[in-house]
Amino acid sequence: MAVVSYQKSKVVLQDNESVLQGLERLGEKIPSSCRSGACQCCLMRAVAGAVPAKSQEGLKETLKSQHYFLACQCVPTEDLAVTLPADDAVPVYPAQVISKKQLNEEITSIRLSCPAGFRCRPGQYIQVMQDSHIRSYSVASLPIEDGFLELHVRKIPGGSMSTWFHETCQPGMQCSFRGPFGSCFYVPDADRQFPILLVGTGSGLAPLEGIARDALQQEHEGPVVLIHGSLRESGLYHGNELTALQSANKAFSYRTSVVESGETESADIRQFAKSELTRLGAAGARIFLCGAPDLVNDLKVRLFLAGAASSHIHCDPFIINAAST
Amino acid sequence: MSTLYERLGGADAVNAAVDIFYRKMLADDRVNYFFDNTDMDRQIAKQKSFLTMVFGGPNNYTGKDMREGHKHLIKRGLNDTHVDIVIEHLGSTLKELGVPDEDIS
Repeated sequence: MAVVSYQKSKVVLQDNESVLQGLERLGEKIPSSCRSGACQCCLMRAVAGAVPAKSQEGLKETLKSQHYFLACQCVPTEDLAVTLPADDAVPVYPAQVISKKQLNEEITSIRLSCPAGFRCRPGQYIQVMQDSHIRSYSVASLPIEDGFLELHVRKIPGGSMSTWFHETCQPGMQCSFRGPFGSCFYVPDADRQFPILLVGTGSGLAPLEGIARDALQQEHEGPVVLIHGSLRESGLYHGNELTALQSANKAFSYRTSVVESGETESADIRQFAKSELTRLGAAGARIFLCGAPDLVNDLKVRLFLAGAASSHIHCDPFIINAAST
Repeated sequence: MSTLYERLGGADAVNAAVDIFYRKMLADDRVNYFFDNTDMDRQIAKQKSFLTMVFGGPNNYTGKDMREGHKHLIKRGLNDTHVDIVIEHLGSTLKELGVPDEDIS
């Protein structure tokens, strides 16, 4: 019989007993609602052992690849160690600032050394800790191939962390971070043919650039279209890098959307993203949206209405462990 | 006698149905303003749970009953006309998925 470890408890499951039922028998309080694999309230993560495929049905690919599963559907055949998303122990790593470069008037690129043992997927985010402050930044680089973590830090007037990065921070300085977090990253399919659409504004480019490069690195064969939006031309950055990436990869297209340009086709990023999605074929496309929350939410609904599957739209960090109200 | 849930094709079919159904609701100006401040992912998860129950699937829907859950919307003018629109969209969703008429009624 499979043994399930959770925090300090261990339970030997009975015949056909789910992880949820087993833990509840011990008196553990695990959030749950429908108990039939639909509502996803009982989302847990396996830190050791393999979960049956049935317990991952309906989860986003990004969650499956991080060993998340639904406790109510999980009748394991081997021993498991499990956690709730909220209790996941997140290690803290030391890092050194390797370099710093102004990308435009608002945004600075910070490269941190990649600490031994740290693993993350491009597009996930880390929380940098400096004095008593903690702020989240997306990883724009490929940590393994590049050998560093690149963050795009937008200067927020009066913001303590961004001011530290922009003004005080110098190469050679130390900081620490914890992570990784987030489920906005590339997951290959069996065929790698599906189209990918990435849309973001401002420093929302950071995760998108990481995800696009990751997909190309993993030899994704379908079209990958990245749209970077800004109010004015000067708000764009990494244009040379992305144009070079486009020249080197037939699958990749770099597009910009600048409000002040007045371009009929591209100035309205919402319309532009929708027409690109239609051109790519909405039904099978994977979509990544990053940047200003209002725009991200608006795009999410629009692209869903244009035919994208809800399970294939990745944007905000998932917050689904709390029981829905 | 198998349940509609089984005849439809189980969890995958419900996932497909909810996307189609919710897309119809959001595209319909007669009802979409009720969803203005709604988190799409949460709403879709709740609808999956609800439709699984409606179709007779292995569900223990523990959501609020429909009257209680929609009280705040009745204050915003939700009435029988809107409920008819919901039923209309649910019906045409099932039709698109190839569900026979006798099951829909």
